[in-house]
Amino acid sequence: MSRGRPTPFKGPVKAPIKVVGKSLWLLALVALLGACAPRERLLPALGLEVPRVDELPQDFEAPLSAQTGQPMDGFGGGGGGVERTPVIFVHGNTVSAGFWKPTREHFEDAGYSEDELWAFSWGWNNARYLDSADLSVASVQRMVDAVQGYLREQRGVAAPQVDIIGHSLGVTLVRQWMKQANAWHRVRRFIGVAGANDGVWTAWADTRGQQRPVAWELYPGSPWLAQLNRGNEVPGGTRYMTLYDGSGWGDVLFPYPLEDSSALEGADNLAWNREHGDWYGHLNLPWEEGPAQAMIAWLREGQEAPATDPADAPDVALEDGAEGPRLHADQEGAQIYCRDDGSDPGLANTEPRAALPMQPGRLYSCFAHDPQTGLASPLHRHKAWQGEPAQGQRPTLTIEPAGGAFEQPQRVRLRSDDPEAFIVYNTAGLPLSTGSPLYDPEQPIFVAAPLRLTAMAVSPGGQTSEPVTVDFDISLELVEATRTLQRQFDPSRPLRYAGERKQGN
Amino acid sequence: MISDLFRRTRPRRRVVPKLRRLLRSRVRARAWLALAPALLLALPAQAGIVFTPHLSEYSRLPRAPFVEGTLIMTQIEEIYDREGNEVPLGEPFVKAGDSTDAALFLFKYLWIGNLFRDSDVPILKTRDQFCRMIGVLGYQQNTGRIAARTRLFGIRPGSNGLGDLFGLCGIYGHEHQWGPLKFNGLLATTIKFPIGDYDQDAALNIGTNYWSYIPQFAFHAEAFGRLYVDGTFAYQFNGDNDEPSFGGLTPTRISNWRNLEINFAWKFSEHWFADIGYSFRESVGRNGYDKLTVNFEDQPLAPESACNDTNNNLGVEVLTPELCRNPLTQRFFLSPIPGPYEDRGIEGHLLTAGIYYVYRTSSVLQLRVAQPLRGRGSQIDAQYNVCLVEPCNDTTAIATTGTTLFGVQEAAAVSASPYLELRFVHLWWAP
Repeated sequence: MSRGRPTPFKGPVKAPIKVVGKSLWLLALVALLGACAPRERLLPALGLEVPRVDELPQDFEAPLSAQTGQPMDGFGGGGGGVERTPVIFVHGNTVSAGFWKPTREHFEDAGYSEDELWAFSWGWNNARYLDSADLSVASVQRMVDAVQGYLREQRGVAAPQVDIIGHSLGVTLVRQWMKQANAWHRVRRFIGVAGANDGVWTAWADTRGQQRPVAWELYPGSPWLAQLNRGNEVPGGTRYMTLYDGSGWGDVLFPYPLEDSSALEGADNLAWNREHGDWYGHLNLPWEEGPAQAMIAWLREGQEAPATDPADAPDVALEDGAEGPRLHADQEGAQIYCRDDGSDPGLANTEPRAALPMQPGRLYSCFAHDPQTGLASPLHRHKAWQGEPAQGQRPTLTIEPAGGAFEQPQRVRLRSDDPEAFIVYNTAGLPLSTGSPLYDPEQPIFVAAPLRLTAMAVSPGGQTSEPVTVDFDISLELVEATRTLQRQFDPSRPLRYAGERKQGN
Repeated sequence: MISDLFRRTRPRRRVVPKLRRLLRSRVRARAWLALAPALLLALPAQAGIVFTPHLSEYSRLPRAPFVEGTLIMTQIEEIYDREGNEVPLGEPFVKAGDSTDAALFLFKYLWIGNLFRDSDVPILKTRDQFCRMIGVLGYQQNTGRIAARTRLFGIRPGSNGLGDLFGLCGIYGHEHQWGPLKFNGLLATTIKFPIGDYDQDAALNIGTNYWSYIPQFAFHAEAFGRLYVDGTFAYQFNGDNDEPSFGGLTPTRISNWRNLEINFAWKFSEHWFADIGYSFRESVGRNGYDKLTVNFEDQPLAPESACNDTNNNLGVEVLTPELCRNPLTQRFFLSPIPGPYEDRGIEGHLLTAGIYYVYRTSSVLQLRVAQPLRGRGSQIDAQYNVCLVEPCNDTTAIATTGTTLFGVQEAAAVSASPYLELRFVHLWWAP
């Protein structure tokens, strides 16, 4: 028997084919290498620079991504001045700021300047590493701080509010940031494009692996979403619009019965395909002319944020009068939006008032809003005391479990020694205020990602506990460490888990 | 009488031409060497199987690495001849019922991404790229009497092992919408690397021993998110095979092919799909055979066997009874004239139907049946020298005789039997 060898191409036509074939073989090899290693590691190893959306000004100090630890690239600040409320685009999962370039063109055609349009690459920009809203709340805080700071310091423009347009995971991310950071007053208008506000069918509660955080966040009926939506889907001094397909078949992420998952109760909801008959799909929707014009028109409906210092915004004042304590706005013409049922007030679904007498024992969540300027205050919570307010006794707070590394999401309970105290918290490692998310004893906090939980108790009369901070590491790495082959054979083997998380280059 | 003729023979130099004329006149049309009948083929059209589109094969899938395992099983009992007739495998030389059994396992790795995203590279920065590698493992065996018959020619009846390697890269076009319809195109080029197991003395081979280069245009369309259409046109440039197997019954000059395939899928739910597809493959021009050597292993051949219609499994009448009794034909040798020969090209039409179960977004399980509709296989009219002495060649031949031979293996044989496909696709890093 003879062993045949491959016979090369012959003839005038086939010789070039061989050359082309070898070239393509090399290309295929390179591409496969690309699949085996993140582009951020592969290209530098090949002596190439990783492409970035490098369109930020030289004098702009790029904020760090909370997920990757790297400076965020993006666009914005290219000149043209600021006449409108600046718009910050927040992309979705596994893409970069470059996602928004087609949308930016529509905005520029409508008259927006490059100083007014910003976007940052806040995530991994790689399909291998799914991004997480919970892990990136601080990134949004940093990008808003950076834009406002740059415009103030480098351009001399006060921009107390921004408009934000989020897409897909960027929608729930921005909403989570506004809630955790009590930052609604910093956002004049928010547009959520194709967001998974009521879940997405591609996320599952029992997902394992790198994508677990985002899956735990966004599966339909997830406790994380319930937490995000609880107490008002459109809270604070922000106006909301959602834009989504709505057909049940046009956006692969939102098939029936999730076709209205992106809508928010109390927002201006626009189901584009259902209402206009145009099918643009999940990614294309914000790029296309019609939807982009709808967004621009909606942003222009309201008055622009005035170029004033944020400190000029109204606030909620508590006055202890002869008829008892009462809440009112601290500026003439401003109004307060309050609720006393544990939910959060919102511009769209709460009756404004000039003032509100407080009833003993009730908890009031309020913000102030000036209809003339559109500026609003952060959310505040006040609880009226019954009888004489306690003096000199600060409540204490305990958290259970008190942080640590876990393989599975945790239900965290907060307790205060003062039964009359209410408890606020956030999961973004940000400073607390009384307007931070309100803890509901019936609904323990769902912690599904590596995050820092900070909480404090507030007694009637305003006495606060020391803020308590604990770190949770709901950790894939821990799972992997406990499942090593060595430990399978010898469970007594020490667990070598350093708690080190993946970081960018 | 023939016997008289031989009695009157004179010195061999004078007799042989006469005998040769006689043989030619009486025997030429016989299917003498139908010794390599339609029993020798590899699982046909591996390349066709590799590229037959599935649900959303050409859609703009998420940027991710995908892995896929496909098991293809078939029992080939019929093939197509050059007239498009379905011919039972091995007939008339063995009874119908035996087959070529084959199983292929394809391992595919697909990467979709965009190395140039966020860069200024025109075209590529906004169009995702993809690359795919396809490895093949195969099992192919002729069964029963067919296997026994191949051994008459000193040929191994089967072959197992590693197949050729396919590598392709391509680029997606933009997605366009038009009312409830959206569609995208793509361009790709596949190279088939002939690294597979290949044995010139095997009746079946997993490897093909020739290069192929396959530029391809494909499209994907969706209507109302329910109807999915994937189609492709590919032109396959094939290299030569200077080392044909099974005695030269695989073509040495393999014609190029054109492939046209389309698949319609219907979404019943996010988890269940069904599809029906059509695949067409046709050679452009003819296959050439230049190194025909297939022959009986044990020679010389005895005259009584040649004269008997059963022919000791030869299956055809070689010599007339009169010649059989002539003492000059106590033994004879056969030697093929190596060529060149050409067939009429091949053609295959295939109907596919299958169901899909999508587990979450990460895994797809698919079952598919492919039924040939019609086709045309490769056959050549080969010539053999008939000699009374060795070496048997043009000089020593007393006659030539013709026979129609089937071309074998991927480039030449077209199966008329269905195959079953079981496929599992997994998207890494998906929930």
